[in-house]
Amino acid sequence: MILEFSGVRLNNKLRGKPPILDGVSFRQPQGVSIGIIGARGSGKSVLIQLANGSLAPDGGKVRRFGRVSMPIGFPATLHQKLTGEEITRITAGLFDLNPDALCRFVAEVSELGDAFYSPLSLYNATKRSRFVFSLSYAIPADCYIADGALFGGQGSFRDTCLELARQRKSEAAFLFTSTSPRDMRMFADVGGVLEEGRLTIFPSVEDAIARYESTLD
Amino acid sequence: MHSNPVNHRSVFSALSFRVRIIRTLILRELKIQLRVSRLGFLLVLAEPMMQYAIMFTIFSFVGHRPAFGTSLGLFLATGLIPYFIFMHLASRTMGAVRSSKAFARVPTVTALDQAIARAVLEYLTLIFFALVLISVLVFLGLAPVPARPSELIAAVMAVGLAAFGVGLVNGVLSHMYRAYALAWAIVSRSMLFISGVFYVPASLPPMARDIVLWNPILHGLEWFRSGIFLSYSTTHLAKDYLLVWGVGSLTLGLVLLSVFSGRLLR
Repeated sequence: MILEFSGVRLNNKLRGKPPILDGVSFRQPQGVSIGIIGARGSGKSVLIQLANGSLAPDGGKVRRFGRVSMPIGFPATLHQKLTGEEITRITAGLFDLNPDALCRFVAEVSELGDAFYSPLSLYNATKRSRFVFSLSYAIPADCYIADGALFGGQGSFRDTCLELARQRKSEAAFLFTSTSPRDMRMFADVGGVLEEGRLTIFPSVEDAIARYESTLD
Repeated sequence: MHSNPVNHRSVFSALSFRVRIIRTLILRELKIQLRVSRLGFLLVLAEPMMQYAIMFTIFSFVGHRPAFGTSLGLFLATGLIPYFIFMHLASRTMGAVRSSKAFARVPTVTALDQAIARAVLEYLTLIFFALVLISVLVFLGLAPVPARPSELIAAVMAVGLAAFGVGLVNGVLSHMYRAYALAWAIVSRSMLFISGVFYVPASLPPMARDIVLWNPILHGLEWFRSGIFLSYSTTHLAKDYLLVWGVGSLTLGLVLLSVFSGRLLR
């Protein structure tokens, strides 16, 4: 087991509104990827923050038994004034990894070249997404979590990134939220549907997608 | 195609990993500080220097005589250095605890790591400020070479301990209760006047003295001055009182932080 949610409740800060998440329970066994699909505002983002531990529930429990990653594409160690290399070294320090090995990996996958050694503030959107996805997948974890996109970038990097995501799925597992049936089919072994703060787990991803699509109309 | 970077965890103990996390956070903060401005580190010194200069100007303008010794500049410095160490360190620690959500997405980093990193960086900055200020005063012939350096170091450590402990407690409680944050804001603004920065407790009327002696910071100042001046009276200095504050607030702060760590993430 990597992760367990039991009866998780998250209150809405606005008085009189129903909870954002209500009685969410599920277990994630080792190596099983869970994709959670839901409309906008159904509580997907907070579910990922709760899994990551950057948000504490108001009721119930979230337990992590393995290494749960930072949200893919949103490493918390970023800073505009620091270079890609510095951020990578800092990340290595915080995760107890070999800084040289991590730098080599990120530089190679992101194909940033010299830009790896310039401050993040000089990166355009393409370079930035190359950097954040490479860094996200460079850190070992038992469960990679993502709120939305599991891979990104453009051109050949997009293929590299997709390949990397597939590899991480086979070695570890994903817990991700999505609005895309395509991503669900590609990465989820088990499907969940979030509707107004309540989670229903479907052993078949197709059933989850069907349920989600039936609620759209 | 791509393999995971090597994990060399098993070689080191958990404790040395904590130390490396804290060191990494300190170096990151320092790098950003220096990157924002090339004069980053000097700018950090500028704030306490300006406060010292303004206070010195006002007091010499109104003809205030030093409460001890012959140099007003030195007397104010011996008060402001430990006072700043306490207040700045406590407020930085408190800020780090309150904003510990910043690194909450990094699963290995705790609120305590962030508080220690910020506190250490602030502490080093303030010690640098103290060294610069005292060196200038000694160079100008306004200050003697400190009479009891070991007492000076002990005082700075005791003040640092109490400031860190109080900062942790304040960080958790002010996050949980608005009223506490407000109360601390009021207390901290009046602290300058009850900590003995521009007087010595021996010169106060007994009734006023009995009140200010409850203030642990005042004992930090007394201790610090006894390390600078050879003939400084230590009648009212209670080192153990300051140390009890330090150990007590640190213990309470650690307990609060571990019990209410979830609250900081809501």
